Amino acid sequence: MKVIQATASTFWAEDDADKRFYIVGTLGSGLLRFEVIARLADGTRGNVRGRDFFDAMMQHFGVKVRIIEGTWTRAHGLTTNLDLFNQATAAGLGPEQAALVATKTGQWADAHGFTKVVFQKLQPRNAPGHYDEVVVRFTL
Amino acid sequence: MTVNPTVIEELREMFRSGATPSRLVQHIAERHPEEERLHFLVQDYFREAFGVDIVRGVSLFDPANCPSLRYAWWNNDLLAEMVEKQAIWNCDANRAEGAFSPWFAGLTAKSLDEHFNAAKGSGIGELRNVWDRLDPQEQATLQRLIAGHGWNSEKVKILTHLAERLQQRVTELEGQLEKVSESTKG
Repeated sequence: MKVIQATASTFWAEDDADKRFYIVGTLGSGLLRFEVIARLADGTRGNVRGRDFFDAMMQHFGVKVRIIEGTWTRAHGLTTNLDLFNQATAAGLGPEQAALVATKTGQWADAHGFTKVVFQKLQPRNAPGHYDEVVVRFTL
Repeated sequence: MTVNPTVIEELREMFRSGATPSRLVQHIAERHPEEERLHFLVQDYFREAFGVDIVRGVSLFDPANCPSLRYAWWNNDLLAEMVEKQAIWNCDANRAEGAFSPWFAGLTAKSLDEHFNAAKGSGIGELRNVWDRLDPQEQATLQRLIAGHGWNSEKVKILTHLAERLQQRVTELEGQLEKVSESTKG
């Protein structure tokens, strides 16, 4: 993994063997927003796991992170978390539990102690297995 | 990544004139044709030019296939934040006497976070008498729905202004085309 930019508010890193795989993270007022590309739409995977990108970002920002935000939408076409979330809610898990235990971001956040889940957006309403847009926050 | 101040001003001017975020990403790609890490460069430009925290989905952008409706998600993701933060990046234009008025002049936007906080029990007058009788899950659901409604309403308002600006532009171009056609005939 190669770190491209690491400041008080940004963390960018990439797979040093393949630039198509990367993480961009931004921290403002304790709120962490990020995007990881560890797998392409065609299934191709990079050499760096998404979890490793995430851990490197968390290590960089350290205790300044108070909230980890997940923004999952079908519109982007990057639907790993959304698909996992929908599978879990379709199987009967409540949204909070599904976000924390079934999604990549939730599992990574959980591993860093961010276990409280608050949804800021969950659309369409009451649609287990068929959500299109989710904004969720994980806190300590 | 090194951002070019000239390009930053170009992006701001394009946005004021009605360029959508995908057009701005395309412009960045055109101005940095050798850049292999567009996904990082776009972050820098949108932060410097518009105060945007993060631009998601840049890896899916194909400069050869733009404009395209497939990039409409950026209008949902970014426009409100760009308008929300105009005080940071558009202050000079607002002060300029007789300056061209951008399509978002007079529009305001709040972050989802602000909407979410505003929708907490004390902020919802109509629900004051029943709020304490709701359980935390019900309160959280109501808060989310009210915040989402407010946020989406602002986005719609912004999009309606942009749509009208784009229609103005189409009408201007149709007028120019008509003049060219007439002069060619003559």
